[in-house]
Amino acid sequence: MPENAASFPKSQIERILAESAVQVLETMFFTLPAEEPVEFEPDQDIVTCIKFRGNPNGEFYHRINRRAAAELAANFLGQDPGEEVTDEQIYSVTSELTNVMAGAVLSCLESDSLFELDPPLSCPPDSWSVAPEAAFCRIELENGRIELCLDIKQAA
Amino acid sequence: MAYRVLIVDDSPAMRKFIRRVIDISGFDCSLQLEASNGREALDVLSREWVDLILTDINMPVMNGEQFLRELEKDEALRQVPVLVVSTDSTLQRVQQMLGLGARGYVTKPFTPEMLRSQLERLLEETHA
Repeated sequence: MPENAASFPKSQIERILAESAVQVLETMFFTLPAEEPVEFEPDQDIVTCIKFRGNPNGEFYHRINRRAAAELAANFLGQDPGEEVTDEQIYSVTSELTNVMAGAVLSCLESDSLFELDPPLSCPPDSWSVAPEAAFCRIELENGRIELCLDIKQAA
Repeated sequence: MAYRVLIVDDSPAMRKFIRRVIDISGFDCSLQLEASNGREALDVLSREWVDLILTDINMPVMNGEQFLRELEKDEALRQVPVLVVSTDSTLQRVQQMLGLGARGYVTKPFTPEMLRSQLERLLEETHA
């Protein structure tokens, strides 16, 4: 019987979360994680959520501080140095980052079955919380951090 | 030979990224058209001729699966090679899309080199 995400140990899911996210950041956002935690000025957070349906179902959450999101958006869109990215671009690219990371993680976890991703939803920053049973990882960046949470709702 | 390419994705940011990656890769492209879903893409294809189509799967209005089914119904459009560009790398999804007529499949995240090699392979096979 094929494995599914519900049968993976939490530590393994957290490792897959981190590895998938780093691969996405390096490949499409031309960004390497910082080797050490970096102190950064607190700024506004952007929280995005994607519901997924498959075997099993669940939710994927992504939180990033705005300054880091702006830099990733500039890298993704190929902005010239000093060229400012708009709020619309930042939110659009952050949604796409969430989408690609969720797809990469779920492709590892649900390799034997089809899954469906809902469109990314922007959530209020204060809605962020990590359930005790959810898998979580944090990736340090030069001017902020990315946090990811995979909350598996049920086994099919 | 410079090719004409249609990029179908509901994310304007992703369409811009793919355009940029095609440019970076050095792939010889004379025209890059865009559409935000399968329905818009069919509208574009009713007016413009293209050598190659790149399409996402998850899109509103008409998704990638429905788009491929529509292309297959048309004698001329079914000859145009389609490369699926998706976050979903499960074997079942890849097989499903290839079964619907897609000629190639690239998983996000991808590098410019990965995209270019797929584009070149598709065009070589088509013009062989």
